[in-house]
Amino acid sequence: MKLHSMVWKEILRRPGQSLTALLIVALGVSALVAVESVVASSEQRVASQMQQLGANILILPEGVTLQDYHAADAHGRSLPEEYVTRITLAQKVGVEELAPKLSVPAELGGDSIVVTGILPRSEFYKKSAWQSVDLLTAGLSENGVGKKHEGCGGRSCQIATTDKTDLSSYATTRIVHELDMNSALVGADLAKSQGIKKGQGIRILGASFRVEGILPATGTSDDGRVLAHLHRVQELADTGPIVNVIEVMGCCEEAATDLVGELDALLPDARVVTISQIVQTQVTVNRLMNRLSYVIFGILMLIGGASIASVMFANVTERRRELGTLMALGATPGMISRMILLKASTVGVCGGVCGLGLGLMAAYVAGPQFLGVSTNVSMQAVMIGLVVAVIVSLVASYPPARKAAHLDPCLCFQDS
Amino acid sequence: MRHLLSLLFAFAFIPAIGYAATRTDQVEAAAKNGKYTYVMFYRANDAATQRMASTIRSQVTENEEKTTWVTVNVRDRKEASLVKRFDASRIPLPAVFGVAPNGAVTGVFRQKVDQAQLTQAILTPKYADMVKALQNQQIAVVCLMPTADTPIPAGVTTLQQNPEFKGKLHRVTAYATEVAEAGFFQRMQVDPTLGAPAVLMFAPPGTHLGTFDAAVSGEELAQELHKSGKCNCSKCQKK
Repeated sequence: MKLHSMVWKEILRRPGQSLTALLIVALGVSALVAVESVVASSEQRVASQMQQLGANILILPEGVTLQDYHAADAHGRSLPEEYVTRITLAQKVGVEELAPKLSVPAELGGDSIVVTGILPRSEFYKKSAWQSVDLLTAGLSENGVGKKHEGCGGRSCQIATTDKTDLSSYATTRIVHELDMNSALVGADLAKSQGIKKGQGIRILGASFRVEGILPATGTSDDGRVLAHLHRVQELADTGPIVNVIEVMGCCEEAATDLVGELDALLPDARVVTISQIVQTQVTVNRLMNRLSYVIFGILMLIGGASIASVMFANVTERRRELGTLMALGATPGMISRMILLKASTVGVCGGVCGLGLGLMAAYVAGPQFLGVSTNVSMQAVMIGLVVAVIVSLVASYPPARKAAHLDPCLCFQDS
Repeated sequence: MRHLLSLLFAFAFIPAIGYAATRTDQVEAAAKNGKYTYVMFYRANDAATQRMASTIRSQVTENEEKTTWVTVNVRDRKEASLVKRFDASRIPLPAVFGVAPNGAVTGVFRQKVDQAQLTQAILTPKYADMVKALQNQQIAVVCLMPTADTPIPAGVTTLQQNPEFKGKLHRVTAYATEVAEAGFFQRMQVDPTLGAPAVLMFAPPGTHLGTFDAAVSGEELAQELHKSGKCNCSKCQKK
C-alpha cells in the first residue's frame, strides 16, 4: 500500500478530528482572503476617485464625518445656503466652481428615491457680477480679488461653453450651466428601473418636472437620484435656504490646500475638508482593515496549529498499536514521520483551499452588497494564506510525527 | 416682540425720498431721478445692522444730491420682489447693494461697510453703462477719447462688425472733455490729457482683457478675445 493511500484511508476513518483542524485553518485563510480582496478593491476605487475628483474641497456641517465622497450630502445635517454666497462674494483665488447640494427623500412611481437640489453656474455668475466694479478695479491693479492662481487656468469662464450647457455632462463635471426650475435630471439606474425617458414628465414632491436628461451611469449614488434646481427643491420640501454640502472645485491641488485655511476662516461654523483628506481617511481605514485581517489570520492560524498538534498527538496515541505493527513489519521511523506529516499537510492544503473558496465567496458577496465596491482577488492574500496554512500544519504536526517515529514496537504491543 | 422691534426699526430708517408703496418703488423712483440707491437688507435689528445703517445714513447725508437709501427686512412679504431680485434671503446679512440709476449693481458689501466702499460704488454714467453691459453677459469695449470729434479706432469698428461677436459686444465711448467722466478715466487708469484714443476690453464679470492704443486692429482685438476663452463665439464653441 502506498503512503498517500494509507494517509487518505486514515483521514476517512477519523473524519471528525481532521475536519475540526481543517475548519479552523479554512476560517483563518477565508478571513485573510476576504478582507484583503475587499481592501485591494477599495484601494483601487480610492485611487480612481482621486484621479476623477482632482482638487476638490467639501464644506460640511460641523461634526459630520465622511468616508464616501459621493454620499457627502447623505448625513441629514445642513448648512445655511448663505455660505455659498459668502464664498462667491469672497472671490477667493483658486476657486473654479461651486456645487452646493441638498438631498431630500421623495417618492417616484411608488418607490422611495432621493431628490438632490443642485445650483446651476448661472446663479453664481449673477452674484459674481455684483462685484464687477471690484473685479475691474482689481484687474487693473497688480493684486486684488479675482486674480488668477499662478500657473492655473484661472477663474472659470463667465459665459457658458458648449460642454457646460450639455446637462448630461453633470455626471462627470458635477456642474450644469443652466437648469430650469421645472427641469430635472435622472440617474441612469433610476431611469432604467422606472423606464424614464428624456423629455418625459415626472411628478416628485407634489410638482411636475420635465426630464431634461438621463445621466450616464457613474457607479455612484447619483445613479439612483433625481436632480433638480436647488431653490425648487428647497421650496417643495419646505426646508428654507439650506444645503447639506458645498463642493468647491479648486483650480489645482496647491490652490485647494491653500483654500482650506481661507475657507475655514470664512466659514468658522463649518467643516472644510479636501478630497485628499477624505481619501486619507479611507486609506487609513483600509490599512487598519488590512492589519486587522492579518491579526485575525494569525490568531486563527495559532488556534489551527494548536488544534492540529492536539489532533495529531491524540491520533498518534490512539494508533500506537497500528504504528507499532507497521514498524514491526519494516516501516522505518522516517516513513512513519512522513505519514503523519503528509496527513497534516493534506489538512493544511484542504483547509487553505476551502478557506480560499469561502473567502472569495464572502468578498464577492459582501464587497458590492455592504461596502459598495466590486471585488478583485488579492493574489498576495491567496498565496500567503495557502503557504502559511501548509507551513502551520507541518510545524504543528512535527512534534507528534517525531513522537510517532520514535515509538518502540515492543512497548506498543505491551500497551495493548 | 422681536418682530415689533424689527418693524419699528424699519420705519425708523425709511429715508426721506417721499412716500412710496414699496421699497421697489422707491428704488425705481430714485433711478428716475438719476440717483444711486443703497439697498440695505437686514434680518434683525442687531448691532451689525445698526452700524451699517449709520454708515449708509452718513454717506447719503454727505451725497444727498446723487444718492438715497432704502432698508428692507428680508422677512417682509411686501418686499418679496426686491428680496428675490437680490436673492437677499441667501446672502449673509446685513448687506448693502449699490444700485446705479441704470439698474447695474455697483457694489455689494456684507456684514460691514465703510464710507469709502460706499463711495467706490458711485460710478460715472459711462462706467455704470459698462458695468451694466458686463452684468448682461456682454463683452465691454471701452473707447476713451481725447475729444468728441476724434474718430473711433478702426479696430473697434471692425470688431463690432465681426459676425462672430454679433450681439455679444457693447461699446462704451467716453471723452476726456466730459467733466462727469473724469472719474471713469481715473479708474480705468488712463490719463485724461491723452492725445490719442485708448481702447480697453473687459469680459464678464469684470476681467480686464487688455488696454490697447488707437492703432490696434480688429484682428488683434478678436485674437485677444479668443485667447481669453470668454468670447463664446461659434468658432471657439466648436473646438
